[in-house]
Amino acid sequence: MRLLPAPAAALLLAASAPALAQDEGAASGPVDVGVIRDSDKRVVQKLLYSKEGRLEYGLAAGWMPFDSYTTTPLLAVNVGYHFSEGIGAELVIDGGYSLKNFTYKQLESDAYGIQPDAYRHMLGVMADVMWSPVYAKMSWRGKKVVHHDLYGLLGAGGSLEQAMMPDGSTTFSPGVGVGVGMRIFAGQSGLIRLQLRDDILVQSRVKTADTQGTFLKQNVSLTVGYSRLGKAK
Amino acid sequence: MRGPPPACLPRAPRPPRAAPGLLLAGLALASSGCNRYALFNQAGYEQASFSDDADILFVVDNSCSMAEEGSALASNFGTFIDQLTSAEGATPATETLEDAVGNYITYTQERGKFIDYQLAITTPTAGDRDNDGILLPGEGGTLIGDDPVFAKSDPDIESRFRQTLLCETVYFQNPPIGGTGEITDCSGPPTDGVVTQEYLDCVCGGDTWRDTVSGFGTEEQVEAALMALCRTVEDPPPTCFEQPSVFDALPEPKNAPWLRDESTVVVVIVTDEGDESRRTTGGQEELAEYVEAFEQFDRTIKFATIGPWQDPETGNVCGDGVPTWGVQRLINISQGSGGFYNYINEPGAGSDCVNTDFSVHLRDLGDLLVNLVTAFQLQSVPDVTTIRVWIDGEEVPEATLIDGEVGTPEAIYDQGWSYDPSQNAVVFWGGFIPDYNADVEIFYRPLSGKPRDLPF
Repeated sequence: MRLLPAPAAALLLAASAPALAQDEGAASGPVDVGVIRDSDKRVVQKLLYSKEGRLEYGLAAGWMPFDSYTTTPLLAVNVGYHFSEGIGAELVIDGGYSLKNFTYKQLESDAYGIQPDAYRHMLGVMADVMWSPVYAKMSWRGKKVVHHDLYGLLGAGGSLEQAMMPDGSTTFSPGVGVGVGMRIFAGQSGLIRLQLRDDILVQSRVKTADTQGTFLKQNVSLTVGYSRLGKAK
Repeated sequence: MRGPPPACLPRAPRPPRAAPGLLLAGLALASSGCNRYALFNQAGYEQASFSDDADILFVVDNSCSMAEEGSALASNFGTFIDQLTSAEGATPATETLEDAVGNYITYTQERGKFIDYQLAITTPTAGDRDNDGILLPGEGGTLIGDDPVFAKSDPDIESRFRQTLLCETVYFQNPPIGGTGEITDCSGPPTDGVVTQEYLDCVCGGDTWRDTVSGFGTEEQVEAALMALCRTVEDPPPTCFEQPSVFDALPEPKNAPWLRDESTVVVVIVTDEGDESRRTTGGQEELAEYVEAFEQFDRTIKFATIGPWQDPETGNVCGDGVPTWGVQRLINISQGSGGFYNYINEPGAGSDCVNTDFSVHLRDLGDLLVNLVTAFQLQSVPDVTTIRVWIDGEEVPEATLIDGEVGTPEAIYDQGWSYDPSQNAVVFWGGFIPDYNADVEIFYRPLSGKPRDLPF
């Protein structure tokens, strides 16, 4: 048998694809796709794990490791709703207990005899708007495809904090929060969240009220949590 | 040639830009580490530093020039004794409940009388003066006297102290002759405060005072105090054996048991010279080597110096050839330890220096001891509005002025704490005077801002 030259074979293949589609359409009846505008077209037409119209609620454990004098383990619960794949809102309540770090202990030792007027994080409430512009897949060791999204958040709320010095004065510090995070989908209803957020607070401190009563304080936390997605409405 | 992509195809999405996110995260981390906190100095006192036992070491300069000052110390010593002795005697009785109640009232009002002190004397000759391997009394931190510890409970403490000072410590080259003939009663201080040959003969029971030798020309007051402690404690710390001190080569003799557990040590230096202690290089004004050495004794040690006048502005010193840095050393260690520096002399007419009133110095020494139990010295000058005080976890209120003027030593308050700038100390009043086993914590912001050099 004589073989067709390569250009001719490619032409035949191109012509056969529409014919195959027409055959399938003929088997199940005509499909009216209506009018597709350019704005309706997406590179990804359908996400495997969708958030749109679903509740998200979860639990996270975290740590605020970056403060000069304290280190704070914390637990957080979050409840949110995704208005679309890209936009959502949530309420986060966290509880923590700041501990003196090595620097603090070194300072308060007999060698230095210094006490920083640091405040212990105890309770935080933040309402956030989340923007998830990135949905992506990545390969895990070449064996498994992991679906995830990347998001940023912007929120407002406050934090209840207590002086670590013996007066133990408490203060509620209002502020705003920004952050970035990643949702790693572990199924249609479960996901793991990794998040870095920075709550920028305005904090009143009574012991220095005569000289400087208000300070900016940043609570930067790293959290890892597990969330569930509810059924889509 | 490649043309533009067809209009009907969506543009390929841009890959997410990692740089802004990373930048944001980096900024957040960096700024969190920069959270600003006011730093408070913490003065914590526990029972160890809050004992009513005071062990006092007099380091008395016995050089030729000190005869007049030594006499003045001996003559005025009663001032010190009176200030710290209760009317009922050295130790008030507490046999009955009534006694106990009465004593409690006295205790809260006149706590100085409850100070239990011991005295001892050495000289600033910190080494083996004759270089013969034998330390004479007063050399190398050895204590002077056959029975060198003078306890408050001794009924004749004043006369014994005076006798040891005049007969075995101070070098009298040529004391004045009184011309009054033999003195038979020398149980009190000398008439008009002048120590005559007749008075010395009486106090010493003969002319044994002539056997006293003059001190070494190089005064090492602080080294001598260190050696005195080394010779007293049962288990001398490593610093005692460090060169160039003599203790390693000449560990004997030991001093009589003069230090009590948990007592406060007060080193009283009486001198008209500066300090030239050997561990610190000549010319240096800070005695850092000695501060570290004394820390190894793990107890509160205060220095009170009655030393040469120094002009605070020019640094000029009263006395020929007295090094400015040597005087500054004594000022620094005295003030740094919470003690005081008083002038033993002051400029007089012309270029002469005249001696100051020793009764004032001894009264200040008494005040220092009294304040061991009511006043808590701060290391830095505080912003008074930031002082907060706790005793055993309970916050103490600031006291209200009853009499006198705020900021003066004469001010009297009701209950709580007050700040005394003359001592740079927090003083407790009334029912808030801490008990001996109380845990006292004082927090304040220093006026100078950062409390001290931080370790980072």
